Amino acid sequence: MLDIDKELKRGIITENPILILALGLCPSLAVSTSAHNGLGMGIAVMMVLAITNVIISIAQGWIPSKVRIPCYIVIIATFVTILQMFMKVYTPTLDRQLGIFIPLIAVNCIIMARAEAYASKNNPLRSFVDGIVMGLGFTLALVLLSVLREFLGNNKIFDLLVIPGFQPMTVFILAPGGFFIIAFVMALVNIIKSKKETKAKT
Amino acid sequence: MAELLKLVLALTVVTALAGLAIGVTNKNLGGSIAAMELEIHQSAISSVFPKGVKIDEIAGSASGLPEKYWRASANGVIVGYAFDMVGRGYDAAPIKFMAGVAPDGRILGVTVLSHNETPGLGSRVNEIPSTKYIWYPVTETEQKARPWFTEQFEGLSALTNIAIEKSGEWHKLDDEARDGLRNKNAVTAITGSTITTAAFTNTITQKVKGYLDIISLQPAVAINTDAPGESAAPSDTAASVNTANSATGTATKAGVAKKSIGKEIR
Repeated sequence: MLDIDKELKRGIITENPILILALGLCPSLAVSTSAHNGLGMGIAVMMVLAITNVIISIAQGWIPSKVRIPCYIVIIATFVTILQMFMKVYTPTLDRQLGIFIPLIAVNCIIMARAEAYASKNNPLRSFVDGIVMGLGFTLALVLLSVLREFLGNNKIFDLLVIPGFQPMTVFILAPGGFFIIAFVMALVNIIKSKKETKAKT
Repeated sequence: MAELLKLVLALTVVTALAGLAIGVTNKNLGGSIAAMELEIHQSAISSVFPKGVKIDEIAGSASGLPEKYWRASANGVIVGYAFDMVGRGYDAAPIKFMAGVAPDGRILGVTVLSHNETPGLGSRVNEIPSTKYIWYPVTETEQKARPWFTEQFEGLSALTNIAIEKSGEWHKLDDEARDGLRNKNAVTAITGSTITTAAFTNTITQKVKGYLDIISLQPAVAINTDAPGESAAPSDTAASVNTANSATGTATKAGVAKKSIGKEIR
């Protein structure tokens, strides 16, 4: 049945949304300026992903395939709206920090991609697990990127100073620095991957 | 035709259910959201005044005054006014903040209400200066620190231009450098976010002086002290009120209505 270890490995490593599938790069670029924001955004995406995956998996039977995309968008946008209402009440600080990026989860391509590629073809339980592991992979990748950016750009990790006297480089907080960091991390992941593959061949 | 109808029906059902879900959530949470926003606003008002003052909400009906503003008084003497401020920063969405000023134009406090500035840059208007290193666990209970950016406005004059210095951020400066800034009526810019910084200085210097001028010309609104009769007094009884700035007392029939918030701030 469900192999949790395998699923976790799939979401976090072999099919990591940001680093391998390269999905949802624009929100990652925008919110990965501090580890707090990255973590908050990651968890918010994970919740939306899990809930919409389940709903879409249940609804796939009677949604005609011609109008499935608009239906998915409506379902996703609905849950993002509801999530933001909850965040406004229960985590107002995070809501104010993430601001516009919460409504933009609705157009995050990871959610659409998982709905189309996975939830519409699998049962609700599997879809839920897929949402959680994919969200976890997204969160971990986002936290990794934002820790690097916050450290290089502000000399801080989770708002705590890191190295005394280190002169932070503001460019890493800005969008260009985000591209650099994502590129370097992806390059690193690809190097590791290709080394593993050559090892497996020989 | 039947096929088309099926598509329309499916879309209708999905959107109707979505609308229902949002409606139900809004019905249950909408009140809490509004209450939360009101609470943030209320605490912003009290945060720009010194502690222990009495705060009244005043409706400014004279032209040039905001719809409502807030007045703090202690023992019958006006301590200051708080105004809602709207500044234009780097983002299309405005920066909303609360500014508290004494009747002589000295800034008592500034608190950010909402903004949409760039995360990591302009969003640092709310940054609380951190001196803690990740390597050392923090054991001592620190007093609640305030955002350094807004703190540096305290004591500056809102009546003249507030300059922006780009020589390092305020929270990293020593007391001597801070005094120097105060003498120059200047604040330090957030690194990489001069436009955000200017949104605050420009809005304060453009608005506050005008507001204070108009208020000083108005017959003062009674301070609701122990005398109960005063609360019903119309606005022309300016002479009977011991306010600091009603000296001019020109009886512009501005009709400033008064409404007590009815809440003593700690």
